[in-house]
Amino acid sequence: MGRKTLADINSGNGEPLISIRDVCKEFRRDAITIPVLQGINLEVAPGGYLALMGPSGSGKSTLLNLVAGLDRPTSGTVTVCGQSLERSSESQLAKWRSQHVGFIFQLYNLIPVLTAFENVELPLTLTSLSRRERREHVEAALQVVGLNDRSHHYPRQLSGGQEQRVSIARAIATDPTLIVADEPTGDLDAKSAAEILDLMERLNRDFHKTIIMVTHDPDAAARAHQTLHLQKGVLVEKTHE
Amino acid sequence: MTSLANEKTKATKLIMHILFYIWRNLTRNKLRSMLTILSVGFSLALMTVLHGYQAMQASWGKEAEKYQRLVVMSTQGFSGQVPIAHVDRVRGMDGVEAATPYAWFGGKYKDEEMAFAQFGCDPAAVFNVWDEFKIDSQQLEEWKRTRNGCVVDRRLAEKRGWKVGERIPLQGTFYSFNLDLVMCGTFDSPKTNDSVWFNWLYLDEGLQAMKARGAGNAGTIFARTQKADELAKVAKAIDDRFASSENPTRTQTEAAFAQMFVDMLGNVRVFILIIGVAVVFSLSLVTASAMAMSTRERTTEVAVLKAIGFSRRRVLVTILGEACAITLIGGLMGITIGGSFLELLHVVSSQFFPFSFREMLGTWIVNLIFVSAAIGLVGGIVPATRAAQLTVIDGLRRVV
Amino acid sequence: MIPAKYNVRNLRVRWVTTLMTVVSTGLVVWATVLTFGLVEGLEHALRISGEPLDLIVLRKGTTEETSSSIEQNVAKEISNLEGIATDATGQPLCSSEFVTILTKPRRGDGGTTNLIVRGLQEMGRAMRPSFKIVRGRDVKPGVNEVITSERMAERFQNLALGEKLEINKVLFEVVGYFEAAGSSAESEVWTDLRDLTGARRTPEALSCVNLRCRDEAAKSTLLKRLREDEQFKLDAIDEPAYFERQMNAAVAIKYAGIAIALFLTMGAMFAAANTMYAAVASRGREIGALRAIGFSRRSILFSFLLESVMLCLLGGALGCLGTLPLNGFSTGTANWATFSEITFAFRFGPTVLMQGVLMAVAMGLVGGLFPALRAVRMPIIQALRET
Repeated sequence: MGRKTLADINSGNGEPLISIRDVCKEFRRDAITIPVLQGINLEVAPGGYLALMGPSGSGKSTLLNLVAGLDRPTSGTVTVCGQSLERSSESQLAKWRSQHVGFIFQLYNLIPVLTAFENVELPLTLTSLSRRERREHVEAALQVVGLNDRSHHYPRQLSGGQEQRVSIARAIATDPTLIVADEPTGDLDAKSAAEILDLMERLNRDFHKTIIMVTHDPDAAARAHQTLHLQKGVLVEKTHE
Repeated sequence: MTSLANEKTKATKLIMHILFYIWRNLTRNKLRSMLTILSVGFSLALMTVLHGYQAMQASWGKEAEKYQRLVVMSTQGFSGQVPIAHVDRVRGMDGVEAATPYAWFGGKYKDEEMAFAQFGCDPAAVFNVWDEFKIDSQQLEEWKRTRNGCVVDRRLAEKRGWKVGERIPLQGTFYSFNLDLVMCGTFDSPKTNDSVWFNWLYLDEGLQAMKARGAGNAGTIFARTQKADELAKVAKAIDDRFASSENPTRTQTEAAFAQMFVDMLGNVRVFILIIGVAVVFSLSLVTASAMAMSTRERTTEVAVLKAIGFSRRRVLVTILGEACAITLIGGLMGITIGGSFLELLHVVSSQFFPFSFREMLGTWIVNLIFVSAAIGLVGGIVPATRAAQLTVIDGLRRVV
Repeated sequence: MIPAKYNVRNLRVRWVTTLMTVVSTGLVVWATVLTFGLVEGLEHALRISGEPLDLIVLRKGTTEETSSSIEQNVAKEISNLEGIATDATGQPLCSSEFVTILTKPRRGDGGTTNLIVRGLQEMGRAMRPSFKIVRGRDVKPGVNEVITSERMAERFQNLALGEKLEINKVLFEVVGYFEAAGSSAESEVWTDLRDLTGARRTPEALSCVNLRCRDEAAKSTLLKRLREDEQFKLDAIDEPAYFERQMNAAVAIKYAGIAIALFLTMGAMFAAANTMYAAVASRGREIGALRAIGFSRRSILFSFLLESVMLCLLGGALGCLGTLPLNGFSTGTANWATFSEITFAFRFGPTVLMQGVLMAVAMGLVGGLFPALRAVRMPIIQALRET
C-alpha cells in the first residue's frame, strides 16, 4: 500500500523525535508580560512515554501545546518529527498536526452531532484516502479501543470512559507518530481511568506510539517511562518514586 | 400617610431595581442585543414607510376636506363630457360660492411627458374656488387680460427657473390643439401643487377653430360651497339638477375625489397588511429565539436568583422586560429610520410625497410603538415562563 | 473539508432555534417573492400583449388609444395600404377600434376605478393572442352585448355573466367570458364597434387602427409611411413599445418591491447573524478540537458559512413554496398611463423564485460571515479551554 508501517517510523535511528532547545514562552496581557516557560531543554526519543507534572500555572500545558504544534515559542526551537515548528506558518502547522499528531483531551472534545464512527473518521477526511480505506482505518482504530459495537452511537449515548476511548481511536486513526494527551483521566472515575491508562500503555508498547501526557495524577504518571516536573516554568527532573 | 409614602418609595425602588437589572442583562451580550435591535429596527422601518404611505393618503383627504370643495365629473368618468354650460348652472345653485371649469390638459413640455400638471380654468373664478391660494392682484389682472396667459405654482416656477414672461409651449396629447402659454405670474399654495393654470377659453377657442374633439368640454368642475356642512347637500343638488340631462354628473367632495385615485391602486392596502403581518410574525420569532438563547445561557444564574429568594413573578417580569426593552428600542429606531426615509422622499419628490413626516404623525405611530412592544411580549413569553418555572435544583445542575 | 453532515446535524440538534430562524427568514423571502411575483405578473400581462409585427395607429400627438381619434375614411385608407398581412380568406389583418373609459365600482368595498370598453369587429379578435370564448358566447352585433374576462367579472360590479353594464344610459348584457393568453385584453370589456359608438352617441367615431404587418421589412415601410403622411396626421407605434410604455406602473411597484426586499433582507440578515453567533459561541471547544486535529481556518470558515447558508436556504425554500398556492391568483392595479384598471395574475416563474433563493443565500452569507470569522479568529488554545 505504500504506507509506512509503525515499525518503520519508530525504528530507532538515534535521532530524537522531539527536540526542544532553550524554549521561552511569554504571554502578554495588556502591558504586562508573563513568562510561562523559561529556558526549557528537552529531548524525547521515538517510542518514548513522557509524563509532565506540576502545579496549576506551572506551564505544563503550554509546553504540551508547543510540542503539539498548537502554539509557537517566543524564543528557542521546537523540532518534532523533523519539522521546525517555531518557523512553520499556521497552515503548515495545521497540515503537520493532521499527519503527525493525535490528540487526547481531558473533556474528550468529541463532536456531539457525529457518531463514534464519524468522529474517528473526521481526521481521515483530511487525507486522500478513499471512502473504503477510511472505513477500514476507522474499524481498525475502534477495534484497538474495543468499541466496535458502539460505532453508531452518539457521544451522549456513551459513558465518559467510552467517550475517551472513542477520542483515543480518533487520535490513532491517521496512524500518527506522536500522541499528545492533556489530563486524559482528569474527568474519569478510577476504573475508567485505569482502562484508559492501560490502553495508552498498549499504544506505546504494541504500536510504538510516542506519548506525551500532562497529568495531575501520580498513578497515571507512574505508567510513563519518564516523568518531568515543571515549576514556575522551569523543568525539575525527578526520577520515579 | 407615611406608610403609604413608604410603600410608594418601596415600589419605586423595586421598579428601579428591576429596570437596572434589565439594563445590565441587555448590555451583557451587547452583540446579540444589537443584532436583535437592528433586526427589529429594519423591519419596523419598513412598516413605518408602508403605513406612512397610507397615512399620507389619509392626510391628503383630510387636507382636501378643509376647503369645502366639490368636484363635478361626468358619470362616464374622465372620458365623459361635462358641457361648459354646466359651470354657470352650478354657479347659480344655492350654497355654491364659486365654480370653475378644470380641464386636465396633460400636454408634453418640450420632450417631457407628464412633467407637471396643466389645467384649463376660469381666471376670474379659480382663485375663489382655491381661496387659500395667494396671487399678486396685478399678476391676476394681467392673466385675466392675456388669453394665452398662465399662472404657475411658485415652487414649480422656481424649480424650473421660469420668470414672468416665460413662454411655455405645450404639445397636446389628449387634445389636438397645442398651447403656447406665456407666464403671467406665480401663486402660493400651502402644499406643493406643481401645476400650471391657463385660461380654459384659450384651449376651447383653439379646439373650435380646428373642429376638434373636446370642444365645449369643461372636463371637470371644481366648486366651493358657502358652508362646510352643506357639502353633501349641494353635491346631491348638483347631481339631481343634471340627472335627466344629456350629460349626467357625479359630484363628490375633493376628499372623495382624492380617494378615487387611491382606490385605483387596487389591493395595495391588503398587500401592505399581508406584508405587515408577515413582518410582525417573523420578528416575534426572531425575538423569541434571541431571548431563548440568552435565557438558556443564564439558566444557572436564574436558579441562583431564585435560590436567594427572587419570586417567579420577578423572574418573569425581568425577562419579559428585557424582551420588550429590546424590541422597543428597535421599534423606536425603526420608526426614526422609516420617518427619515419618508422625510427624504418628501424633500426629493414633493410632487408625489406632498406631506412631511411631521404632518403625517398620528395614532398610527403610537400603534407601531405598541406593536414593537407587543413583539417583545410575544417573543419573550415562552423563554420567560420557562425560566420562571425552572426549579432551583434543575437550574443549578444544568451546566451547559 | 469538514463534512456537510456536521452542519446538517447541528441544525437538527438545535431544531427549535433553527425552526424559528427558518420560519422568520422564510416569511421574509415569502413577502419579497410575493412582491416580485406581482411585478412579474404585471409585466407578463403587458409583455404578452405586444405582438412584434403589430402596429397601433393613433392620431398624431396622442400616446394612448383612449385619447386618440381617427376618421372612418382614414381608417379605410389605412386598411388598403401595402404591407399588411392577410388572413386565410385574404382579408387584411387590420382592425378599426373604438376605446372608451368608464368609471365603475369594484365589487366588495373596493371603491371605483376606470374600466376600458373596446368596440371592435371580427378581425380584432384574430389579432389578439389566442383569443377564445371560455364561457357563454361571443357578442352578436346590434343587440348591445358585451364579453369580458372572468377576472374582470370577479373584480367589477355588473360584469358577471347575465348582468348588465350601463354605458351612457344604455344597458349592455354580459353574454360571455373570453381569454387572451393573459394579455391586457383580459383587462377590458369588449363589445361590437357600432353598438358602442351608438351608445356614446358618436356613431362615426374610431379611436385607433390595429394592424399586423406582413414582415419586418413591411413594418418599417408602414411605420415610415404612416408617420410621415402629412395629410393623415397619424402616428404609428409598434405594439411592444406601446405596452412597454404602460409598464411605468410596473416599474413603480418594482422599485417599491426592491425597497421592501432590501429592508426585510437587512432585518433577516441580523436575525441569521444572531443565530449563527449563538451557534459559534456554544461550539468553542468543538472548533478548537477541529483545529487541533488539523482542519484549516479556511475549512472552519467555509463550514460555518455553509451552515448559515443552509439555514437561510431552508427558509428561502419555505418562502418560495409558500407563494405557490398564490400562483395565478389575480389582482389589479391602476395603469398610470390610461388611469384604467389592469388585472393580472401573480406569476412566480423561475426568475422570481430564483431571486427569492438568491436573497436567502445572500442573507446566509452576510449573516454568517461575521460569526464564521469569529469562529476562525479564536486562538486554538483559548477555544479548547472554553466551557
